[in-house]
Amino acid sequence: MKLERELMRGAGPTAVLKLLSTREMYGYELVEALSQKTDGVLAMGQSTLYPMLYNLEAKDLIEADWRSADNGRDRKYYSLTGKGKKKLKSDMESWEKLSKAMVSLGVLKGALA
Amino acid sequence: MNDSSKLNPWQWAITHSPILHTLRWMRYKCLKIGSPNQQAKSIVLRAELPIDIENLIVTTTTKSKLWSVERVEIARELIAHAQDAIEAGRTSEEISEQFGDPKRVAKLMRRSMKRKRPLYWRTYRNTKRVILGSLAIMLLFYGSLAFRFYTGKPKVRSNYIADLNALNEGYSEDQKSWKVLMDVGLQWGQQLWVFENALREQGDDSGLLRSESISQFFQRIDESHPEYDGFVQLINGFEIELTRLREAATREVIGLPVGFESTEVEWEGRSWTTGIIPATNEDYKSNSMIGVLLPHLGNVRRLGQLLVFDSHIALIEDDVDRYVQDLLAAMGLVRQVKQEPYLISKLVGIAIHKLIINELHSTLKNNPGLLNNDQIVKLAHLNAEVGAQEGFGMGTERISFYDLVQRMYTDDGNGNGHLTSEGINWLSQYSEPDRVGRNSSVIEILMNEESVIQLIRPISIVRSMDRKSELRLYNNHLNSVERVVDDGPEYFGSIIDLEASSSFYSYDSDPTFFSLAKVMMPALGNSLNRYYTHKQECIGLGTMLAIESFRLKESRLPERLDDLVPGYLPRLPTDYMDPGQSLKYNISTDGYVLYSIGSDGDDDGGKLDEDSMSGNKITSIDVFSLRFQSTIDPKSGLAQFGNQGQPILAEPVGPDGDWILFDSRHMSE
Repeated sequence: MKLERELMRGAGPTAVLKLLSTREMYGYELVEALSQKTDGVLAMGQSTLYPMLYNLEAKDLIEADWRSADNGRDRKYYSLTGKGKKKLKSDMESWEKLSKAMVSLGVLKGALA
Repeated sequence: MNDSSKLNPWQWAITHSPILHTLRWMRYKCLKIGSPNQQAKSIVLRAELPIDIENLIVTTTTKSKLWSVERVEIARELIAHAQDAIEAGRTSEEISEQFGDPKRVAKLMRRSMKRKRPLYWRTYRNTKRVILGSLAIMLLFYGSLAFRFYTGKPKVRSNYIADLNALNEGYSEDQKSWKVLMDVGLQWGQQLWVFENALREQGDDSGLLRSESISQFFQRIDESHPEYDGFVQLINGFEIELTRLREAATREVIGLPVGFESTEVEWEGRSWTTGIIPATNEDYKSNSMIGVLLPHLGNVRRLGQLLVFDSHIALIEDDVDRYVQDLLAAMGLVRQVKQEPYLISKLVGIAIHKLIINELHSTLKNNPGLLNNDQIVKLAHLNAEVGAQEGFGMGTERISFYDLVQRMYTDDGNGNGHLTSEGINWLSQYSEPDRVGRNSSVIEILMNEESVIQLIRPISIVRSMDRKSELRLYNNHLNSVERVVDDGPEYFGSIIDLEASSSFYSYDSDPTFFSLAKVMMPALGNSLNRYYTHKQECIGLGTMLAIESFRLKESRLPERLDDLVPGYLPRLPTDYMDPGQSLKYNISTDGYVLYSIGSDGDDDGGKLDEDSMSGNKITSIDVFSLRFQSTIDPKSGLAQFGNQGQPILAEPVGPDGDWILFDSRHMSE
């Protein structure tokens, strides 16, 4: 199952920021992680991922660095900036509030806080 | 960190300088050198990916239309992605399927990549967008103006010519004098022409008979003039026509029909106007009131001169009856021509009346007792009729303007509209632009170029007034003039402001601004001075004739002007220089002096102002303007009025002295 475009537009950047908060990652790695960790819900191809990464980079939420990997090929690694960390924190709080609201409305299942 | 991720100085410069980037783009576009995709493509080829994936990436970078360094960046990223996917065991089909439509990918990439561009570039792009956007809006705005200006069609709906022709309705042909005036005028003109040619052949080319000033005409043709006898002979030989003219001058009206084309005959190698072709009911559609011909006015003026001069000859020949008949006929012409609805006609009448007054002044002063009471009464009555004729032709000026407006402006059905190209072109046939001698700057040279003028002229729609505003401006001006005519010369100040504002306007100087009202606004200050001078002189002449009548009956002069009322005058003679007061009259042992207090506004006891007057003739044409100066508000620059709408007058600035209307004493003039 894939999210609708509008939902993806809201959830995608937060998901990417969250993945990058653990460690720096390159493009394909991000695609795989998003697909596997969300059971395909937040899976996205390069046509969605890279423009999203460029947008986050333009906003100084992430930064990129070309480096040679162990296999000798060049890869572009993305990592979170200080601004990105703050943004992630803020987004997570928002999502938490949202999910609680959804639970209280019965849209999501779970215990009320 | 890999060095390849860093930009070399040239790439950095290209990335940060919009100018360098533009130059590079132009080099590619114009010279087809250095395709921005070349580097990205070679990187893709070197990566040795499956051909379908390779094509996808090349297509994406090509379609992205980004800068070269940005395409390289995208290519490297997508190559790395594809290689990782292959390493992870994905097939090229799976990778291609996940890639999606390269055009859409390129579009998304381009949009996001541009957000990463430096602040300089974004500022440049935004500035360019604002400028281009503004230009586009201006172009759109100009386009709509040009469309309105060049496609707007005036609609000629009102037939004002019919209004003018209606004035002659109700009169039979034998009550109209215009045919006689044209015929006698033609013959007199031809006789004068022959006479003048004869003088010229003798070496006298002084333009004697065509002098601009009528008063000069009389000053130069006197009994001492070498050609006096010849001129008298010429007039005496014209007696039959003069008899026709005297009869015609008693008719009700001139009655010239409105027309746009004259009839002419060829005689002695030149064209002579004989009459007019009356306009048809349809002529108003293609002819404006500006084009109305008044060919009789020149004749009326010349025939008025002829009659007054013949009266002069009659006096020398002791033919008093002919003398009076001529002056009555001349006065009849004045009555007829002043009755016409045109301002110019009224001015011609005023000019002829001036000649009559001069002649009677001379006679009553030098030959008192020459005229009998019956003759005096006839002259006085006709003079009173002429003096009482109201109006100054403003009605015709007004409808002439309305006629122009309907030919130049569109009509939205509510009386409003805008200026049109058709209207401007139509007006230019009457008013050729005078652009010579104004080429002192580049702007002025450009402004003289017809193509430039045509290009910028639509702007005049927004810079100029609309139809309603033009009508309002013009009507305000004419209303103020009519107020002077109707309410008295003390309202003079209110029209001077409008004239001053229009005197600086020339529609040729700025093609983006046009005001029909200002172009057509007549400068009426001088004419109004003549109008009131004429009215004052009519009153003066009437009073003079009443005094002469009194003297004949009583064998003495009246002690006061009150002695003339009501037996000789219906009321005391008005002094227009002294509102509410009558003319002044001083009697002495050797005669009397009749005078107005003059343009200085105070009674100097009948003292002649030597600066502005000569003898009993006013030479200054602005006597009333000098007398009735309005107080000007220093802020608005406009005349000030009191609560009742009356002007607040300033101190008069006329020269010291009085305006002598008649001095019967044999003193120096």
